[in-house]
Amino acid sequence: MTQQEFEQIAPEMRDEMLRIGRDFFGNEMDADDVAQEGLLVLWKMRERMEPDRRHTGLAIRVAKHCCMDLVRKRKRHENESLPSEGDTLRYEKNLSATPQEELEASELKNAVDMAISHLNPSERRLFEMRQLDGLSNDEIAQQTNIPKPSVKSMVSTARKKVFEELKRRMRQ
Amino acid sequence: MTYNETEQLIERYLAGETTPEEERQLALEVSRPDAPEDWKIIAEMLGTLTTDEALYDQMMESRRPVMKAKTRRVYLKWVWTAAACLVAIAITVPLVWSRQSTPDVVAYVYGQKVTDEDVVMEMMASTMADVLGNGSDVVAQDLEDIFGN
Amino acid sequence: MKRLCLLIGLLTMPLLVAVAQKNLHVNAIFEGKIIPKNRMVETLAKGESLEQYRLSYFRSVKMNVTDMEYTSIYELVTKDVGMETLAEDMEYGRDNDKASYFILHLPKQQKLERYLCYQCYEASRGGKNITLVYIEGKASMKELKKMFKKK
Repeated sequence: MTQQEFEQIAPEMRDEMLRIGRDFFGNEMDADDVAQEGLLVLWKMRERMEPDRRHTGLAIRVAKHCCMDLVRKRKRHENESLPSEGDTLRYEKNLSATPQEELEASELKNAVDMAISHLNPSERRLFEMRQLDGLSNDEIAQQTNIPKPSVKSMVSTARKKVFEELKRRMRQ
Repeated sequence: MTYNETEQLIERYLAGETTPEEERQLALEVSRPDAPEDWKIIAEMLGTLTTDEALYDQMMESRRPVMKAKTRRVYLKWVWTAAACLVAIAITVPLVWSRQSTPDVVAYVYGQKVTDEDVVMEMMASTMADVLGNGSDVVAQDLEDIFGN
Repeated sequence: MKRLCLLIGLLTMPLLVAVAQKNLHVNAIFEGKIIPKNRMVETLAKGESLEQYRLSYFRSVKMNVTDMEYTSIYELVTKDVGMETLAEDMEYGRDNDKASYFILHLPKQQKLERYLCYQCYEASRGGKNITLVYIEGKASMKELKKMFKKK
């Protein structure tokens, strides 16, 4: 997607992200932070965003990620514990990772990115449509005109390839 | 979810059989602090967007029971406020309508209209304090320095 | 008759708003032609609500802009400042290339004082935050600074 194409869809995506931020934080300032960070994330992803498709679903996922990011940053800087909401053990781990844990996660992420880059273009496209856009097999089949059983098979092949490559790397 | 249930979900994930909803559930499971190595790989493959989406949904869901009671109280408060407003309007509209000038006070926050006069006037006062209060914070410079070529 | 006048007044309000700073180059910024309005925080006030400040008109826009967009805004702003501006009509300042501001005293119109205020500073998340304010009224800048002193 070119810069101009991105700028055309940015306002709609921004509105969606503002809405997510507002729902979560309940105030305009934080919602604006979410939308600004979110647009930046999407801008960096623009090359893999196909121009003839809607990306509001991706914008919503990115906005939710930015909400969690903001919570993590605040937790780190302000050193205050989150109110107990839901399963605290589960998400406090995610929201209060130490720098060491973050480094390990970053190395693993790089390894995953490398493994994805080794997939053939069709497998990579479908892998990313599941991982980044959060689309179901049905939705992918509709958007790509690939038959649903083929989508499932290709997604499975891609995932297994990435998984096996990562396991090999981790054994080294 | 038990260990075995998570393992089964991982198998289905690798087989391309899971729904986005199941993948979000899986993301939470494999992100546990005590997760084995294979689970960490799956967590990374699922990606930050899936994991954070699951966390977001979980946090929003956990707020809901509190919100319901709060929403009801807010609703009742607004019903009474609306009733009071109707009475006030019935008394004041004839007076207001006869006034010659109507103040125009409005704000647009990223396209969203705000007409509450107190809020808009506070925004105005805050903006004025900001732009007019620069003298003490900023060192004066020559005109050429800032706008010259 | 009064309702008709009010309706006419309401209908012509956008026109009156547009006329107020029509002759300024920065009008394009206020009108959302440089940065779209859904990326701005815009505040408009006129009439009785401003009487306490001895003002008759207030309009401001705040926005976060990229470096490229800043260039367009800077060009318009410098056109309104102009090299004919007298030193006594302008207050300006800069802080280490991270922030700059000016308060420009424009020529009077219909015996009303007019000011254009501008503030720009580096945003922590990137880009620049810009505030532009246009004011009309009877108050002097000295009075306004006293009234809107930072807390």
